[in-house]
Amino acid sequence: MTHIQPQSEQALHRVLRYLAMAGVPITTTTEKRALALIAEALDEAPHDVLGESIRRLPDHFALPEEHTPRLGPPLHRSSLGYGDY
Amino acid sequence: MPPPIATAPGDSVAEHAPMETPSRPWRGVAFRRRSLLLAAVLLQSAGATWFMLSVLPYNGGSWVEIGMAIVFAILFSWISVGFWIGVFGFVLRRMGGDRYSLMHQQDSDTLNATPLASTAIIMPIYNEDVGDCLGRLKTVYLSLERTGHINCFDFYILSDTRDPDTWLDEQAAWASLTSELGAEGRLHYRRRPLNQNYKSGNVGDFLRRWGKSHAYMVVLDADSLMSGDTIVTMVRLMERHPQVGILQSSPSLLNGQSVFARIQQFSNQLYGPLFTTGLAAVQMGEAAFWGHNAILRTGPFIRYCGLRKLPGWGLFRGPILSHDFVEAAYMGRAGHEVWLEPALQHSYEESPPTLVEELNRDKRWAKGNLQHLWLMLRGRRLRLAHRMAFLNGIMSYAASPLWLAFLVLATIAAASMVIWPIEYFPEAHQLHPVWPQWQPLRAVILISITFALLFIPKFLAVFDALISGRSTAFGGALRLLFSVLFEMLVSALLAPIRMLSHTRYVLESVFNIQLKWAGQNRSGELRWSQAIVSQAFGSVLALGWIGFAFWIDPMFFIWSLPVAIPLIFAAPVFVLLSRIQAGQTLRRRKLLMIPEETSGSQLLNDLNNQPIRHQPAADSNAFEQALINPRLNRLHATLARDLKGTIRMQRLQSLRERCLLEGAASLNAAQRSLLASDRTSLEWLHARIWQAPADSPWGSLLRSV
Repeated sequence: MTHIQPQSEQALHRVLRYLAMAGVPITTTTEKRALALIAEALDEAPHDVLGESIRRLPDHFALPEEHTPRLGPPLHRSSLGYGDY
Repeated sequence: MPPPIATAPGDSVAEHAPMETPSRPWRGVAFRRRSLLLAAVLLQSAGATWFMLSVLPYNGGSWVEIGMAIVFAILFSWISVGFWIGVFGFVLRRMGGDRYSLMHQQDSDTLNATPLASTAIIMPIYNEDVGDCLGRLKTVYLSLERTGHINCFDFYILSDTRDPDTWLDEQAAWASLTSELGAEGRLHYRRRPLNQNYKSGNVGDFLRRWGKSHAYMVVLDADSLMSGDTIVTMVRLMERHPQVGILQSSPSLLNGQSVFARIQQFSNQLYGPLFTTGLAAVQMGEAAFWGHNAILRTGPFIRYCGLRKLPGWGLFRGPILSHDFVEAAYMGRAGHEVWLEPALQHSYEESPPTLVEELNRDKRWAKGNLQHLWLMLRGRRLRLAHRMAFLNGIMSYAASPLWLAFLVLATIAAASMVIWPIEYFPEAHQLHPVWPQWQPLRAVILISITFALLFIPKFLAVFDALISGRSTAFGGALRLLFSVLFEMLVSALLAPIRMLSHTRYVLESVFNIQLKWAGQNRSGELRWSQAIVSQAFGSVLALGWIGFAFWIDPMFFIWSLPVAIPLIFAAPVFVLLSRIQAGQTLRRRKLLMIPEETSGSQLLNDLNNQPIRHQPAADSNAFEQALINPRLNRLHATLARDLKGTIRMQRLQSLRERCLLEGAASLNAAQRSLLASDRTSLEWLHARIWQAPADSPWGSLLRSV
């Protein structure tokens, strides 16, 4: 018999996975706040818990800001000389 | 505190004033050495061709025999050049090196006291293995850091990669490596939106943007490895010799695992020093640029080395494929010198792991080198030595169809003795008849002379290693000798296989067609079925040939065997040489050893023990990761552009929706690349993918990441 995972369980898994990938440490506090987020999403959009929980995620968690290095130094333009053959 | 960077006020760094050391005048010496080489080659080739004519039944009295003599003379001259270069190299090495070389003109105190100048280390890449090539760049970085001069160097990864999964991985790996090395502002990444004019276009793009910021640039290939000390020495040599535009090191092969790669690196490391010393002594300040493991003076390179498209027809029309020789020729034309310096150590590259990959590379190189014929004949004001360098490159591939032509003519000549009536009076008004007959003994002598020319330089290299005490680094005298014999056997087996493949490449290039008869693009170990299918044409051709040879003359049959046997057994040769386990067995038995394996190498240790921290995800590709992973999505979105234009925006919107509904697999590489280049699309898709229903393609992927 196939086990059908409830929407809320899938949503919790997805939220925690997102937070982990974003660099948020998964602690007991994080899990509690994630559960509160899912409860809120269930109240607001019982037919789209997955989508609603992700949409509400920024309101509950501050994601770590990562610095992106500059691709290259400031341009110092010149043009190539093309002689004859 | 960083060492001072010498710059002239008001100028760009590329035009700074270096510290000059008066150079020894070398042009007269070069003239004498080249004249000696020419005389030796011509005399030897003329003697051998005369001797060859005496082998033939009509002594050159038929068109077929005249054709054979002409082809033989060209091929023998080609071999003879290699022979004398090897002999020159041996003599010079025994004399302690060439006193005219740049390294010999400096004492170490002067060199070490020379301040450095701002130098760019550039690595152009195109769909390479990201972990491998950035791992090598990391090794070079760490090595330069250990010299204490890292502040004088900037690193540029110049990507021409088109595959979105690869370039997204490049970006992620670059950002990770920058953070890992603390190299922000020193390690840069640039991917051209359009990859015009191949590698030279990529380097040109770098020069247009940042060339003026650096006095020099060191060009690395994706498989290049150089020690920091070597790079620092090269910068100092350039500072001491401002007339030098390009300084080329002689890269050794290392890190080979398969039997084929180990044979290549063994022969390169054992014989290479002899040939490069001889070559450098003949070329002197008019050497060639090999495209990597070299340092270039950016100022003159920017001014004189832009490559126009060829204006001719067919092969001779369009972008120059092999840019390096042409850039060296242009640098020479502008009055700058180009030097090959064999004494520069710890400059490396890797051998293709298999014969298939080597032949795939040769396919590109054959076309590029044949293109040089146009420049050799029509290039204006190029130095003769650089025209000869073009000829040398052309002959590297043209020798194969010439060899094949010689075999065909020899077969016709042999067959004519059986099939057609013998001509006793081949010339008009001839009083006495000619009794045509082959001279088998003379033929054996001629073949022995040819083999001697091929193998004597190799034995000179062995002798050089033995008397200089280097044999220990190759596993000891006995193992060295055994390795050399094994290498010679494999070389003899590979020669006809290469000949047939190179002939195909030359024909394809000249006639601008695609012939399908040999190996396909593959990497790693080769399977038996693949090898048998890909080599079937050559094997069947060789079987037919020796069958015919046996029918016309048993002696001719025996003469044909050294060429035919390797072709018949090409498939096993391909498969066995690609084996990594067999290569490792040879290493455990200390055969085909190279000094870096015997004595260890800091570079090799760093390369193998300190891979880059970034690892690609196992459960999804880089495009999917760029859309799913919040950190990677932010990175790629920050580095992407806001693409504009109504039509393009509509196209992007349509692609975004398709990607969201049907998954990444529904898009082709170009479509994925377009989406990944657009900041809005990356952010839009990231937000919606995480909201996707559980039963959608993205929903199921999210469950597994």
